[in-house]
Amino acid sequence: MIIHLDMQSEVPIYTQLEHQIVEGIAGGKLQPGELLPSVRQLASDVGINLHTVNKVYTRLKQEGYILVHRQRGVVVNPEGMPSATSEFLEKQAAELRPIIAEAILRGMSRQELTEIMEQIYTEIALPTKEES
Amino acid sequence: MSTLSIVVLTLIFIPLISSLAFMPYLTRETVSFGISISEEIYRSEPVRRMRKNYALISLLLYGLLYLLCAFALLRSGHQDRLEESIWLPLFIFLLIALSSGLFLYFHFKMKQLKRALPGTAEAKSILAVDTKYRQNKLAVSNHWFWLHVALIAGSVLYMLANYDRLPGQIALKYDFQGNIVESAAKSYATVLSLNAAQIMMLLLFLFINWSIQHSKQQTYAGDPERSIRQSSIFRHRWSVFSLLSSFMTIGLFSFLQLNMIQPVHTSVMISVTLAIPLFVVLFAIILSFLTGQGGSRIKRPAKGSNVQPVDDDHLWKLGMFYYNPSDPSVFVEKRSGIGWTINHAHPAAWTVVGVILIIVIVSILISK
Repeated sequence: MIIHLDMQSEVPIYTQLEHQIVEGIAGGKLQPGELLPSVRQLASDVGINLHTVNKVYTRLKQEGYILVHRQRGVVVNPEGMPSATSEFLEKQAAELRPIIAEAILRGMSRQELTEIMEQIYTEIALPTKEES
Repeated sequence: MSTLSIVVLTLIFIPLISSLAFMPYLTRETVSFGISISEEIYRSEPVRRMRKNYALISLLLYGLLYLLCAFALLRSGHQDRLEESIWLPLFIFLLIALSSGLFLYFHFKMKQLKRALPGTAEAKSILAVDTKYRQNKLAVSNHWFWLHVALIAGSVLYMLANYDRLPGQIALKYDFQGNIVESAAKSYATVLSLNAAQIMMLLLFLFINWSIQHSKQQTYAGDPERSIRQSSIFRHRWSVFSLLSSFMTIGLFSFLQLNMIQPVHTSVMISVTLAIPLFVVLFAIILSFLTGQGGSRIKRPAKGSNVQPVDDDHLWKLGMFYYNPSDPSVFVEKRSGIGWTINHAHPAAWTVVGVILIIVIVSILISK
């Protein structure tokens, strides 16, 4: 998968990296069991500090999206992704709240907001995921 | 003999001059004189003109320098050796000084040009990174180097087996006519000294092959798939080159050892000793012109992308020296040239350079 990073964005690189990998797995561009570059290799290719990449991989590992083996390297979790646990739903709600609040503040209707969510969902998700 | 010096001068001159003068045509299409630009800008008229001017001025300047040195060599040839041996290194030094000066002049002109172009200031700086990059065959397997090990081992065994057949004095240095200039008493150290050099070379080339595989990925966001394809072919070709040229050079040393026990005709020895390095250099030049840096000359697309590559001009000092303390990469592809260079901010890079320098200096001192 080809990761695109905006080096001059206000959004920090580690956040962009994390989002790109999550989106990659969600959209099927990164398959379960697929190899990801090692911390050192990815840091070298992007040109950022090892600790930054480590931070990203650690977070993704904690969520259960990737596995980090000393010898075998980094892989996308071959046993599939964790489901939407109550813990996750709480965190998601907290992350969505400011986005929705700002939308209301700017006078967006419920309809408009839903349409945007649908559009992005379609853009990202695998066709098979929608059917199930 | 001054004629031979001129032949050597010419043989050095032609590949050097052509690669220096035409270098801007060999770089990636996202770089012009050490400044990052979109492919579209690279192919635009003003930049094309700069490249042409650079080539013409280079050829003129270096041509004059060549004539000067050839003339000086012809004159001094009939006088003393010392003057003769000064001119070749002087020529190379002046060549380096001239080419650096010329490059820097064009580098600053290009910088001005970029600033004057519309849209480049606000253009997004997008970096593309392929997670599967190293799953391509970037370098040949290191196991190929077992052939080199076998050749070295064979040479060592051959020398040891024939130790008694060797004369009491081992020839160490020859001049261009094949006369022995320096020799030493026979001992295991002198007899196997060439093998020690072979082992050093093997380690160096193994290291080169490793770094071709692992050096920093530099993918163009404007057309990532094509960029990766070109880059993979580029790295693979240079890996094959390293494998073959190291084998030939190690072979040359074995040939020289064979010559100690079963001497061949002087002219054969001189020819082989000159032919092999010449062939390696020619091979490199041809490969550079066919492949281009990063594979830029492989299957060029009809139209250049207008996407601005990631703006890291501030990391490339004078357009030539990569200095990035946040980057853990030790080796990166050159921006203005063919091949790889070091990340000057990385301590490991300085260690590598230091070790190589020490080996060279020590070898020179020992041979005195």
